[in-house]
Amino acid sequence: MPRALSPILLALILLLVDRAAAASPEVPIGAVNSLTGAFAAQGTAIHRGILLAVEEANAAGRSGGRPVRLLVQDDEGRPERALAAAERLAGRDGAVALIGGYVDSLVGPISEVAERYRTPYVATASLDERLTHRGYRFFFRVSSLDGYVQATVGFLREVVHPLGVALLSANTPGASQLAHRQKEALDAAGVPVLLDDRFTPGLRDFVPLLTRVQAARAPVIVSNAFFGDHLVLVRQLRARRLGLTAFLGTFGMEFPQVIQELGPASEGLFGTTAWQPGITAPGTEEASRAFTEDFRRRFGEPPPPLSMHGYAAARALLAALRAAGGPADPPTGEALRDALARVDLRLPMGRVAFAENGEPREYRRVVIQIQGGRYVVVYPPDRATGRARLPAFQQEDGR
Amino acid sequence: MRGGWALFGCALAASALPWSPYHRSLLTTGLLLALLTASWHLLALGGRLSFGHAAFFGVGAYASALLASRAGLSVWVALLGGALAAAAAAIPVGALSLHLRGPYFSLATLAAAEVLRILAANWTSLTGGTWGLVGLPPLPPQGALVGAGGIGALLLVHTLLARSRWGVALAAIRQQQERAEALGVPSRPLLFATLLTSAAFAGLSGAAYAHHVRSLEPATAFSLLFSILPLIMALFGGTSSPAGPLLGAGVLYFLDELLLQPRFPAGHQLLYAGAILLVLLGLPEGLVGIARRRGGGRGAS
Repeated sequence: MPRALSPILLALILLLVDRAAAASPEVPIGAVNSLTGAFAAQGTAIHRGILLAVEEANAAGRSGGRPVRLLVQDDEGRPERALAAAERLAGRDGAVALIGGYVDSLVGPISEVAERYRTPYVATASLDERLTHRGYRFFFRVSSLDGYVQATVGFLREVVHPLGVALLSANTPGASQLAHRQKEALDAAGVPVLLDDRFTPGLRDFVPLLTRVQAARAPVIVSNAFFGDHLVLVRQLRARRLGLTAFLGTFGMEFPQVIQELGPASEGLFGTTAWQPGITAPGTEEASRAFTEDFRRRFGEPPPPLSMHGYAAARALLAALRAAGGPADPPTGEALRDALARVDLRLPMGRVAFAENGEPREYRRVVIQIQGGRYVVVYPPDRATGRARLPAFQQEDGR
Repeated sequence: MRGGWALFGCALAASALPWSPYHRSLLTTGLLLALLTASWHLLALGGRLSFGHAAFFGVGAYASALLASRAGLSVWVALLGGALAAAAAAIPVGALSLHLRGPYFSLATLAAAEVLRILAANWTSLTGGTWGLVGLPPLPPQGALVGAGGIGALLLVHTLLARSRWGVALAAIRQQQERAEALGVPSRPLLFATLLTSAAFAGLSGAAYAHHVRSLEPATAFSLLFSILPLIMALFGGTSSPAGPLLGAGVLYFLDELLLQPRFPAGHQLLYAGAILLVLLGLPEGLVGIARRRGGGRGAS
């Protein structure tokens, strides 16, 4: 038996050797994202946005005299790994701040660690409203549920005027909460919610769900689901005659892969976006173009829409770092937190500033429609670059 | 058995050492996975291979989370509540599945985990539904002791098994159930008691996990991962002695987290696939098999 223990001893020894986290003149920032696993595509997009912002700041000497070192951890889409990664970064590696995160089941554990270490954490795509109602002082995020609710409900109420809506939502915390808020807002606006159904992401057979949509005679489907689910759902939808006026996908419909994968079947679909190449907050066209170019040069592909969430969060953090830290010492968590609370930037995603509870003061999403294989902004009116084409949905003849 | 106690000693000593919070976090997860794996192994002693221990893990996690956050109980009490709730959940699962054998039992347990996940996702008033639970009370700093203590208690159960007819009867059921029954072994009650005990320990593991990560949603609590990991870890360690699953879990988890993950972030999980291949191709008795061969047959099960 003692021999069988030797791998454990070996591991412990290597672990102690591994402890050599040498003092360096750089300011360490810890990034935790899903670089592999179920959310790898989203996590990588966010990570690259962060990376670009940090490299940019280092090159321009924008981070307060001392270069920033990005310490990267992969949470693999698993909460216990996100937890260990945050502990490692904030505790062992001495990161002055944490950044990253796509789903709330991973952002939650990281935010608990951050609060315990009094290390500011800027979450890049978190939505769960309970996370900002805990009274945590070190939690900030650049996205909010409000942005989604305002865009989707506003568009339905002001542009589509449907006789009723079917809400089909993934049974994840973010999507369920969004559906709940949409239902409240639609009820208040007098738009009947004829169906409010949940499904597990990765579902292959939407036919039972679509049968219920048909039975409810809902002319509009709002799909609070992810990129992969939209693809399956739309394909199965196209083969049926439901008499739909519009299909609005909340998350991931802005990914260019939607057009690539669905081809002509993507025509007329609605989605939402906070930013993507060519769709940017008014007055930031130049910055948006520069980001798109730099991203393409650095990573060899156009920036995915989510990369801007990573970039915006990192820019906020870097601005706070510069405001809080002298060139000599890295700022304390407390000082950095106060500086983050005062950050106010205009970036392609919009204004980046935080409320007292860490929510963004502004997080706007616009509604887009795929017209002629391109994304056209159709709502809100002040951002629209074209008119919504309605009814936007022609079924192919079922075989 | 001696190997098991030696590993328990290591776990206890490790829990008492002043690790950095990062290593403490890894140690806690590692010990909880070891406890889950050992609980899986207990049921396997009766020839029942569960593919759904996530069911008990998840019930334990939810029960403890709700007892601590909604009922305001201390985390220590809530952990026990989690273990008991998992045992209670094992009653209907056992009633519906224990008469099945081989792959049919395994599939039934797989289904049980799925049914419970759906229940947790839809019983919104109790579990918070698909919104999940956030901000759960944390595991106390001595949290790693829960894993170590659970392992110790489980080893006591093994001692009891080894010294009583229960253990012999389970072995007889595992080898040939009809013959055991013909000899008068009451297989159903014995298997039931084993399942309940196994579920309680799996529930304890899940309960501590909930307070460790401090947020919970049905998809994580009842994740297939918590059904598959104990299977791989136990087979890799070897199922012929209580030390095997503990060793398998410890070696795989810490090897993965401390050595492989930092160096090969993209492909480190191949370790688990490699472990299974190793067992299938050349190491049928797992790690304890090597130890036994080297030690000339000492350390009987």
